[in-house]
Amino acid sequence: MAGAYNYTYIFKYIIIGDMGVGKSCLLHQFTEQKCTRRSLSPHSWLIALTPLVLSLEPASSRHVCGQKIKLQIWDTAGQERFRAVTRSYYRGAAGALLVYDICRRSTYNHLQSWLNDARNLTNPNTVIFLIGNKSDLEAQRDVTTEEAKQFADENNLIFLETSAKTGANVEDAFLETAKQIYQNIQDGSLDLNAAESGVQQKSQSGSVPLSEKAPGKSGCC
Amino acid sequence: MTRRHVAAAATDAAHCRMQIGSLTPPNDQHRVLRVLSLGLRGRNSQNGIDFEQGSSFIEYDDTAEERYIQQLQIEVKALREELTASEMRNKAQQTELQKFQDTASFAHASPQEQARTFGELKLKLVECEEQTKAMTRERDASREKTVAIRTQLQDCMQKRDEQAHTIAELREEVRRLQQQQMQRLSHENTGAQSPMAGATATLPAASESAKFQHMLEMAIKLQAEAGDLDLLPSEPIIMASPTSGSATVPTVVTYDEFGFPEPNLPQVPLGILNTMARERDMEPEWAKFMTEANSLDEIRYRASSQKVKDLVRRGVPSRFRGELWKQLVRDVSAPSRRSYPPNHFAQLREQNKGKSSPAIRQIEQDLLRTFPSHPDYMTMGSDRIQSLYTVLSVYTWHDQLLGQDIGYCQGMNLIAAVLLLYLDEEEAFWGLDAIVGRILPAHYFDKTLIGALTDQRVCHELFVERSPKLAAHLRAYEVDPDMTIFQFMLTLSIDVLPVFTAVRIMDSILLEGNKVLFRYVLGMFKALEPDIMKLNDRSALLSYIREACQCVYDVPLLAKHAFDGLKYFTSRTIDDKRQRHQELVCREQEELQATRRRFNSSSA
Repeated sequence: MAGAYNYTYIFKYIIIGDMGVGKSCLLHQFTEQKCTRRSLSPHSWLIALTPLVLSLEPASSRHVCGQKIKLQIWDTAGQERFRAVTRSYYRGAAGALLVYDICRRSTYNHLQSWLNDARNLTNPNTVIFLIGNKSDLEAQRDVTTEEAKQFADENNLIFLETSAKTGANVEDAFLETAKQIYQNIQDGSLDLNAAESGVQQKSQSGSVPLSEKAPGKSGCC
Repeated sequence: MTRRHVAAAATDAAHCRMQIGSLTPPNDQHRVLRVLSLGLRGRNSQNGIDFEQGSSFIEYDDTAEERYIQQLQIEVKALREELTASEMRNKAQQTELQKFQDTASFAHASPQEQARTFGELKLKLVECEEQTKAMTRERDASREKTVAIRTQLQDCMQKRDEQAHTIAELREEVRRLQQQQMQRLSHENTGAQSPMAGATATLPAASESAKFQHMLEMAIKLQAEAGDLDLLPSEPIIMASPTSGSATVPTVVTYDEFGFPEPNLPQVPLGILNTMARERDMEPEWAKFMTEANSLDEIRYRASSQKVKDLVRRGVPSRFRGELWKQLVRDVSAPSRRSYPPNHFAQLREQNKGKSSPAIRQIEQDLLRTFPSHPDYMTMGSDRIQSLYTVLSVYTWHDQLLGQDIGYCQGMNLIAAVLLLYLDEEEAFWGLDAIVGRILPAHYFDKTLIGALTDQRVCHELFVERSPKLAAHLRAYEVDPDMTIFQFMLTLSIDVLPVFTAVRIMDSILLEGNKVLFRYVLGMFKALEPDIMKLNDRSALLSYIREACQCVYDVPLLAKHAFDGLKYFTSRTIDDKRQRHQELVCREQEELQATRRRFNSSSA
């Protein structure tokens, strides 16, 4: 199908964080929602979820800032021992979603170590997005929004609390990351020619000029 | 577009059915149904109806074939008659000969005359003998001809059966796709979603209709081919489901032999039917083997023999799998079992009831995501989930005794769940112990994962050696097969291939050890190579490999690639490579740790 090739960029994302924080659920929520809402779109992809070990690469095409961008999302296994394996997937990631569970402080405490890995193993321009998941379980909250916000600010991360269950903020997290990456391309801080930029440009497209940046809310088509 | 197809197909189908109903004797329907039934057991009654119609259609289609076979049969009969006649003639000659001999012996003429008569008789005798010889030759020749014709006849019948098979499969696929299509349409119309539909309707609409389109094309192509062979009348092959046109199609989810919802991809049933057909063919051999090999000793003795390996590689009929696994697990775990009391499993279970640990908490998190589509694995309350929990948790306590430092590793849940498809809790526990402790090399699941990482690299090296073209192609598009390989090795293929296939690979793993895993990985890539080579886009390659793996249902074909298609390699080859790579993996891990420490201290 020609539709599958109809995009300007491919961004590679990775999702990292402790076991059970809801990485795969976030991905599922993001992609499944797309399936139902965008059933008329010709760009739908078969999203296969493997909640185990390393789920690779469901990809989806979205409009961000007027650009069609395909996301190549690499889900990773959260169990500590798989960190040696998953590190090879950090390479060439344009975006990293760093996820913790607002109801389990231990997952928040491990953020520093995940962040270190992400900084260490990706390029300096990789956009890292901090996600406090399970915001629907307010009653069991163990990590306040304020302290997480502070952590995000200190480490120069974008931050949102989401609920993979209800879908709250999930799409925003994925799209904000894409917008940030796109901005980095626009202002030249992300060099597409550099190895492992995490961004692939479709040379054949050319239908959408880079400078023609649609203002306003990105969202879906 | 698809709606139009459905409507057109419905009209054609109704037309076909009318013709069929009046033409086909019910006995024949029955026979064909029996042929098809093996691969299609467990379907709902609605499908049953479809098949009956489908089969009668086939009988009707095959009249030309039938006529040819009848002609051949008549020919065989004529030849047989000729043969009998020539045998009769032969007998008559012999009687005559006897008469001459008698005449000679009883002659009372003068010695000269007697001698002359005798000479004449002798000549006649020689002549007769020669005649007999000629006739024998003739008889042999006609016998040969009979055999040849018989073979031809068998070939014809086989071909006809195959055709019927393919047609039935296609029809079933088309039906299923149409049903899905309608399901989806009615979904969209009503907005209602039944819980079961959620499990199957994971295909986005566009790709689904693309697949449907693909199916239609395939059906039409095959129909054209069948038409070339003069086996089919020109009616379209596509039949609509009986309720076509109305939007009240009930949501139907069918389940396979393990209780998983049946896959809804077009390539699926062909491979499944091939596998089932092979296993059906293996049935007599297995029935014989299993009655012979009823003692543990015998299995153990047989396990080392090439005959048993071949038998397992060629395919194990499902009904023998439970017994086979039980025997193999018993055999492999026997040394480990000897060092514990006989009630080791129950003891561990009772002693540690209600206890928790980090490993136990991780197990709890993984229970429901083991087989999310399987109804028995969907809720915490179900028996299967409880069994899975028991096996995995008891294993963590067992591991503590062994001091392997494994606890629980993601991936073990899949292995245990697959074992539980055929074994009870205790057997599955020992099966897990056998796999982790004996069949796989050390450090496969422990905190370092060194064993699995090493095997991943060994396998990668073998892959580059055995499929150099494909490896170069993937490298050119920066597609790394390591992820697939690692997942394959660590989960014994369960997370990469369909459970249907993984279960069958498990047969060989339990018997032959983890060496076969390398063969299956390489064989899988060999099987997919032609299609992968056609793709020239990184994203497409990544998605395709993933999706194609999940459609590998043709186990005989996979085994052919894995065992016959690959040059012989020994455990020694693997061990040598292992040694080399293990050192590298260890060094890299140390470096990683060092970098981490440096980074942590600098950021702190």
